[in-house]
Amino acid sequence: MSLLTATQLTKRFGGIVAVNQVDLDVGSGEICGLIGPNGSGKTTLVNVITGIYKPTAGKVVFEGRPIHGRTPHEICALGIGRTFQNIRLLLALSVFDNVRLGGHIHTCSRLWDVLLRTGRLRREEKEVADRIDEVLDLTGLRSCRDELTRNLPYGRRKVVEIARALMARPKLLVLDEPAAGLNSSEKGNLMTLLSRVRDTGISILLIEHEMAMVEALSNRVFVLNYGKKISQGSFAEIQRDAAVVEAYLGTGGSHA
Amino acid sequence: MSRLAYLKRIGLAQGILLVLALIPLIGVPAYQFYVLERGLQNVLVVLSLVILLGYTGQLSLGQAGLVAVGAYTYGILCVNYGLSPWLGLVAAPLAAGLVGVVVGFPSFKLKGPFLVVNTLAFSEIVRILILNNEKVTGGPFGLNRIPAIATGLPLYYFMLVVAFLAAVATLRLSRSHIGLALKAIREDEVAAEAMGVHVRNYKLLAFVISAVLAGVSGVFFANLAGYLNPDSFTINESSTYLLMVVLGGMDNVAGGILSSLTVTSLPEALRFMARSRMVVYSLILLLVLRYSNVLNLANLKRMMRRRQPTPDASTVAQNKVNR
Repeated sequence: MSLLTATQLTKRFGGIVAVNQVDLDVGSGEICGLIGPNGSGKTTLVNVITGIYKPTAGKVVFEGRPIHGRTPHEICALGIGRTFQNIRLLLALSVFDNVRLGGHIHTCSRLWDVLLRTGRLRREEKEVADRIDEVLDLTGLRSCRDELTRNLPYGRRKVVEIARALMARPKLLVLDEPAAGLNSSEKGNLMTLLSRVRDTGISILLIEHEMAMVEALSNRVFVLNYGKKISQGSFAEIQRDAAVVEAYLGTGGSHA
Repeated sequence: MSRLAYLKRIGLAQGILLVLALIPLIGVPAYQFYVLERGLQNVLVVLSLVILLGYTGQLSLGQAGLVAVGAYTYGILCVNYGLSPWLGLVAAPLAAGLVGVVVGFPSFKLKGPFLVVNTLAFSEIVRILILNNEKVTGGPFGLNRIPAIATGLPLYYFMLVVAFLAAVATLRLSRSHIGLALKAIREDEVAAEAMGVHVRNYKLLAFVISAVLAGVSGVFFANLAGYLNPDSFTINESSTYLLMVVLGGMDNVAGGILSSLTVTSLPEALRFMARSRMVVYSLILLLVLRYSNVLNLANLKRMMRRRQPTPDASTVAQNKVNR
């Protein structure tokens, strides 16, 4: 059974149909690519899945539970983590604190624990700190643990976002163009990181324009254009699909 | 534990308050002592703003309204209903906290200037309600002969203990996951929400904690003055509180304590200047704001930390290049 299933998902903004009756599913332990030209509705689709937008129509089912129309923090608590296309980090805070925020849903200390510094809080803080170091090691961010996020270069910031999402122990990780703006060595590191994440059993829905990466990582690929799903299948299959070629290159109209 | 390590653990904020505990020993004239007490009372309001504005990023110009709710709840319960001052001390912050829920509610939808206008309006409504319900509040004639929890030195030390506890609580909140959630709301609400922070609940929490602290401050005000009048809770007071928290460095507890003590006593210290007093006062504030980066305790700490060798020098160097 698949982990995430979206059926006939539609999102309208006034007269514009940004996402139009899209069916999509991500299986357990799978990396699924989501590609399409700029403005094809990839980010909107992801925002509907993660609750930032409410769908106009259609259903999203995660682990057998309908999640459409739920708020982002509920969806996060159910096990869908995400990163943003235009990085949304807490720039005034350290890398450590940014990653710590990802663990928010797993904290159970209450206000009284905090004010009285109870044993429960101290135990929990210790666990969280250990887990953060684990995540920082996995993502290779250990060396900038206490740096202010504002002082990090762009490529590092993107990794911090992934680390923050991983801290929440998601079952599905939704990445919105994680490779955009990275140099080739950073891209290589990112690919290693993502395959390592997949090996820990986390499924990934990957929006990406970097085709080499989509090809190397994805088990299956979905292609959107003008909000509609125009193709799906293995990378080799969609590569041969005439509709995909047309969306990316245009029709070869004759110029008389 | 070495003495230095112990001092470090106490921290700057608590250190300042410990110094305040010693002040009565050197013998301060009555009026100066009263100003000091008022400064201490203001520390609580500033802490309430550190949490609300400094951590959560919600700008309020209605703190005077919440102080008024605390002060008048205490006053009315003790004077009109003969409640024991100690019960009043418990009841008044609770009432302020409840009102804080009402003030916090619009923050779900309103941001920035719109929220400010809202809190400002709230504060004015409170003031006008007090002014016009003469039977209960004494209206423009004020509420007289309010019994105090204690007077003189005992009251001073009691306030000091409360301020100390409030400062410790604020610092603990700051470093906890709850404080982190509040700061995440300040930095980026969408990101906070996507990371599982229930933004509404946490905003409300910040407003309620903030209101409770302001309410306690109100009780102390009633204790110090023994008399309440709606003129003590105007927009003027709210903006002074805002000034204090900004001067203190917004999310800096120690800075906030220092600035509430200085801003409270500065106009009194300048009293010898007679007519030019407010001009000099404003000028000093302007200069302090202009050079606040030099005075800012947080910056000072950071500069001192930078001098220490970091474990990984290469990342620091790399970041300097990228900056």
